[in-house]
Amino acid sequence: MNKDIEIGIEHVTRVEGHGNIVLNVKKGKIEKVQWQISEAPRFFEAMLRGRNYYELRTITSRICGICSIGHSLASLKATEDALNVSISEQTGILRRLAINGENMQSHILHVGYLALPDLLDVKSVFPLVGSKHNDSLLKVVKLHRLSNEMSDLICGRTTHPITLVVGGFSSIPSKKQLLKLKKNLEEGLETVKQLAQVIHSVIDKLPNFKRETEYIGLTSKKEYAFYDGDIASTDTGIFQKYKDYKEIMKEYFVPQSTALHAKHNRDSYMVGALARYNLNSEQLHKEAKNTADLLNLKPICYNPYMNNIAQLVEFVHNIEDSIIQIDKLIKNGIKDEKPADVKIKQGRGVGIIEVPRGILVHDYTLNEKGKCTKANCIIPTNQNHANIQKDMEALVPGILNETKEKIELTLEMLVRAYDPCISCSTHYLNVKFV
Amino acid sequence: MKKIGIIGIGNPLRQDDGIGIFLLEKLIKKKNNLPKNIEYIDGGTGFLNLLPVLSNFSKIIIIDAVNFNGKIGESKLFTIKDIKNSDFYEKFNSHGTNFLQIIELSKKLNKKPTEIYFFGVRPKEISQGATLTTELEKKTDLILEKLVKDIKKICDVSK
Repeated sequence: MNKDIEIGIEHVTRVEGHGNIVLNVKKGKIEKVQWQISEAPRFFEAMLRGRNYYELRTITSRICGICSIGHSLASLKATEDALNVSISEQTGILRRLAINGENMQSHILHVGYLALPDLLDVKSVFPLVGSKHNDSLLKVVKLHRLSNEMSDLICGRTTHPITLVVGGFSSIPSKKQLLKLKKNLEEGLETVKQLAQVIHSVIDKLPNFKRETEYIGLTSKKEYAFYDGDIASTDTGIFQKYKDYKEIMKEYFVPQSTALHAKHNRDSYMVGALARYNLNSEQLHKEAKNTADLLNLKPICYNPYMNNIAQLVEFVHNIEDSIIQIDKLIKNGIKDEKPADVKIKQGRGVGIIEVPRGILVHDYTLNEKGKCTKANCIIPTNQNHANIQKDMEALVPGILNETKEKIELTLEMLVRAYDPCISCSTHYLNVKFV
Repeated sequence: MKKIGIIGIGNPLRQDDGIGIFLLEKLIKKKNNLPKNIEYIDGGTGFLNLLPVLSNFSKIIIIDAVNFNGKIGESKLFTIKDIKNSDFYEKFNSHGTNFLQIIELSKKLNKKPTEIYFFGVRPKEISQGATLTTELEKKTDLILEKLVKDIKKICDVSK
């Protein structure tokens, strides 16, 4: 094999934000393989400085249009940690519902609209409309609608929530609304099981690639961790000093990227659905475990392409868990609670939660007036960049005999499997009037 | 009366890119003086998440920062037909690029929305910053006045 290959994919499609793939091969020898991030950095932390404690959630909820609930919850946990605010059991349950809703929203959006086209051999979701796969697409839309309705009910909006506030909720759903949601979730469970069968029929389209790496996420003895838990690594186990998270998430810069990279025990690690699955698969609910079995997902899974499958498995788990949480709320009796009282004080707080793309940290220091003087946010996608790079380096030698188009597709699918949220910010419409 | 969706989009952490959200919040405060069949939606930057929302309406009005040849703070009401855009079909991102794709997908899947209006405002600056630029902020009262007039005109047509 003596061929030359030059690949320069600018702005990988069907991912969020702008990332490039570069591959140069001369006479069969790999000269360069690189995952590049070209987005301008955004300095959210600077925007938080000088703001009142109750504004921090609102601002950070605008970091991302997909993970706005996750950023809100991490922000609230950090603020409440700094101010020693305890939340009620009901608030904890409602926040679990909120996080389930967002995880479902994001996962179905990624699996259904962005990854499924690869498995069905089309370039985007558009050709699926009216095709023999139309019914599958309608199932995706139905599940997306369910996730949106859930976020709307619990958080007051589909995206950029408004009911999540320091110490609790500004508005609480009624029993009638929750029972209606439960019924829709039960229907949704059947729909997602049907969708899993469709994915099962095309699962051999996912490349069979493996590279051992470290997986990091939250873990808890009580549940499959999303809202609460300790940081855990598949290499080094549980780390309980949550305020010292920087000992685990060691961020650094690389020349080819405007985004921070991260490493811990090895030269890279992975976060997200597959990491959570590898750490906590035993705590999945029954139908989620059945879905994992159907789709041949077993821990520890070292194939990053299976992150798509772990997302679908988590979607099933989130539905089952939401039904359980609603039952708890109804059994306890829904109380019209006001948010917990806040006494302003100086302090530092750290909030760590799992969002769709992985473990998210917000770390705030507040002064005696409750104003933020220092902030740090560690975003999941930044933690995955080094792992994407290392995967590419390991993957490329094994696919050099393929056509250029096949190599490009395999590399793009790898990036998409991570569901990276490179830039969660602006859009800009250029219009030329005729 | 058919429901009309008014969707503000943009990111308030990108200065004037947040004008859509700014105006939407002002409209919500004035909603008693506006037609009752309007639903107000903060679309933010979660574009793909708006797909199920779009199918609820035959008619939508999108408020957004738009780059056109005009003065800062100038606003324009236009329809989707006015937009010359050829390169959006396959570059399908979940946010960051093109809201038009989501509308296109909704139309294909659900035959809705059928009437799409844009109320575009020419921004000054869309880099990082949690407030509108002073130059645009000074013009927001005038912009809002025009927006309300345009909404009433569109709602009138739909009767």
